[in-house]
Amino acid sequence: MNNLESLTYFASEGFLSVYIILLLAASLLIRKEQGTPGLYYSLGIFGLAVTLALEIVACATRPGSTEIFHGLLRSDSLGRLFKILCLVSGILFLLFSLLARETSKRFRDSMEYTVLALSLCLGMMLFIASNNILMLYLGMELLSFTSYLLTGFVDRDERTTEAAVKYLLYGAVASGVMIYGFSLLYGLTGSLDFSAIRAYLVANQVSGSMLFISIAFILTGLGFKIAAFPFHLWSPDVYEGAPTAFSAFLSVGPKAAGFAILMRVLYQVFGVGAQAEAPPAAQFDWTFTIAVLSALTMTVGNLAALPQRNIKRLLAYSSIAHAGYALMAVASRSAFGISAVFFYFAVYLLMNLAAFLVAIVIANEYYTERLDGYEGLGWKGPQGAFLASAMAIALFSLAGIPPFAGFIGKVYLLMAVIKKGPGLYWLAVVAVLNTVISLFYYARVVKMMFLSKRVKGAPLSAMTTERYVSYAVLGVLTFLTLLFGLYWTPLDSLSKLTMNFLN
Amino acid sequence: MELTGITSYIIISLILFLAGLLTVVSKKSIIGIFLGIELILNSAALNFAAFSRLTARNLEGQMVSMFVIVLAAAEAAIALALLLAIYKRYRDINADNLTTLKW
Repeated sequence: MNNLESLTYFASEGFLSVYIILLLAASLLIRKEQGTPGLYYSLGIFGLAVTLALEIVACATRPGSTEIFHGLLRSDSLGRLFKILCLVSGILFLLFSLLARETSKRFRDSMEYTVLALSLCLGMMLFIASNNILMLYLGMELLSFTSYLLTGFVDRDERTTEAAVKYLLYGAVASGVMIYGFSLLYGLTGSLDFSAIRAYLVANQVSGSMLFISIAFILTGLGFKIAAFPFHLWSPDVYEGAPTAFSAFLSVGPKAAGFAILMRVLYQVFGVGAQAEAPPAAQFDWTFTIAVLSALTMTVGNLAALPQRNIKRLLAYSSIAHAGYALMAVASRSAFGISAVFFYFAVYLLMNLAAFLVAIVIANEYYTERLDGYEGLGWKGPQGAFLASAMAIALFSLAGIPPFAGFIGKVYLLMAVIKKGPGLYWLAVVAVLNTVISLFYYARVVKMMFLSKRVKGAPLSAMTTERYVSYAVLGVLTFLTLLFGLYWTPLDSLSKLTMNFLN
Repeated sequence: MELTGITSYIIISLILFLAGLLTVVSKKSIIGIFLGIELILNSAALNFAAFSRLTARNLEGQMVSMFVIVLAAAEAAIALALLLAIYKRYRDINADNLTTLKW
């Protein structure tokens, strides 16, 4: 489709790009003392909300799968739904930034912070929609560069800069290795376009060491984005050092984007299942590779989370483990697996962000990220009880205990694996064992909050407007976690839409 | 043996890539590590340009290598900004200083 026609499919990204430039221009007119974080964050939230609305409209009115901008981007339901997920997490990111002490009061650079956050969201959208090696690389780098900057943005202590430098070095190596892998793929097939690469691979039965090296390198880069096992080392450091609101966002938005593009590359370039048109030699059987990665990722994540005493680090390792669970459905190599991954990320957004929001409120109150700060929280008046119950629901949901949404999400992932057949049963067993391990460290936090009668630290301070907002957001997230645990049909029918990108 | 064939380009880019990886792993200074990353990116750019000329026979690959160079420059800008922050704190840019965050 040519450029002019494509613009109609590009409304949300187009709006966001223009909005970022306008915001940047407008900020030059506002004097630094006048621009408060509240003003800029609300402008940013407004921009993202309009983008989200445009995206939802596009999702409802343009259901098919179309290549736009001469095949650079693809407009399809998989991309659109994941973009909606990422935009929701982006809006919550700015809201959390407003609520967290380190990025709200007396935070002088909120304009740059907002512009970077919006650019990050734009990068994510282009990354998810990309249908071409060049676009994938550009989207990923826009996403990564802004992430490096936001990680080190608040110069709080030595941990922040250290986290940003580590993130940059690991990330740059991973993306360099990935683009090298893509260059080999380009050399083999002579095209940058995913569908053309696919057609060439099928027609010429390409195999051999070059192809395997290129796939391994590409998986390195994408594995880094989703923090899968051998490439997960950056994530706990970055989550601990970054502003808490940004850690919360990083564990949901960019990770979901990474999964969307991982599935796109694996399914669209290297093929789904035994399709009739694809001769066996053209198929690289990546099911086993991804299954092993998935098992290792969840096991390493859960085991490393056990000794953690810092809530952000604990949630970082838990998010590594959750990437492992979601990879399980990717390994199932089926259309159902794709919808299971979307479903899982939708509920993961709710429960994980709820847990991070409690961490933000506690850090505002007690200036601590350590787990000791949570001791006896459940007995500190109605406020404490509310926070502790919300945290308990979020953590039990993350562990996958029945009445909560996390359980349904896990059931879908396991169903995707079981449907695949006996070859992957071992993976399901590993996942269930891992859930048991994870319950240990989640339950330890809950135990500290409720069973420890020794109430440590001062009582919670009086309610402020800000506090009301945090509690309201927390209430909504918790309510949805409960609701989708009991009635998940709407989310299920939504996630089924992701499947049709394969046709 | 023809020296301008695709094989020689692949070998050169592979050497560049491995040299880059080796630099990343062995250097202590953060600037040194970053130079290694530049080598990796340049090996990919070389690959794209060579494949574009010799096997794919279209200009797409050359375009990608331009983008790789531009993005490498952007990355360098961010890296230098962060290095300044590190230098202000430690008066040094040795990667061994970065040991606060572990486990």
